[in-house]
Amino acid sequence: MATAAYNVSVVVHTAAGAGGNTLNGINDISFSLSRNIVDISDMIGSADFTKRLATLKDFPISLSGQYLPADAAYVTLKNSFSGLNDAFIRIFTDSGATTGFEVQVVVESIELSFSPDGAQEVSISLQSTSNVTFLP
Amino acid sequence: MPSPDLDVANALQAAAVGTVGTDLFVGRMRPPSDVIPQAVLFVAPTGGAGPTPFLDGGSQDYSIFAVQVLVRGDVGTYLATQAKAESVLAALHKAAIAGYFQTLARTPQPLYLGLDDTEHPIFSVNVELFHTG
Repeated sequence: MATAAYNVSVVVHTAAGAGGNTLNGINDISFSLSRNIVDISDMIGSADFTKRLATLKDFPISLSGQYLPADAAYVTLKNSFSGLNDAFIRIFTDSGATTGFEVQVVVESIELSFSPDGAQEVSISLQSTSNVTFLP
Repeated sequence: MPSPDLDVANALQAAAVGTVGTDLFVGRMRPPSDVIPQAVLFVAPTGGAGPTPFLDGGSQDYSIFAVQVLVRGDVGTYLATQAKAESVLAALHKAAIAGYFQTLARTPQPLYLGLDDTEHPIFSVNVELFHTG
């Protein structure tokens, strides 16, 4: 059975493990578990298929939603962008905030956008700098 | 759950556009009576959009509450009633109402709805109140 997306939450912390603050105002999250694929085909003998090797892992994250400058989790990300602290992201997919992923990130970009008929909005792009930890 | 109709009524009272319980009421328009004057404002909820949950474990939603203010004037007072309705619009558009991050009028001018059965001119002002919580 499908799971409601609104159960998802993003917690931002300056260290791995429990703690940190939920990032509020977010209405779109993209998170992928990917590996760079290298073609290692050799065409030796009768081999007529492509051979690949899964190499380096990558876990990019993009977040977007309402811009809340006083939000503690956002402040942690902003400080990480400024080089003041590390940033660890935990993405929980259940309402109990126990199941999900954790990864250390670097903040690639924080984009603010404003239009007169709505809330101020922010888009944050994060790139991983550690292996992913599957929670719990 | 906020009460946007009551919040709008209180905002109009704070802007000295009307007085709750005297010439400003919450709910659907009622005919003149011993307690309802001919020149009167009625504030009623008219739906809106959402609630749309945020991705924060489901703790908060984003909602847009629609509220309509009906402005009824004395018989034969079209221009004065229009001016009253314009003061309602001016008081509500971009008003800072506690609990909402913005309030916007949905038309640039009040809508004239014509005369009621007893020839009172009626205007409407429609606003949206943006809420997260």
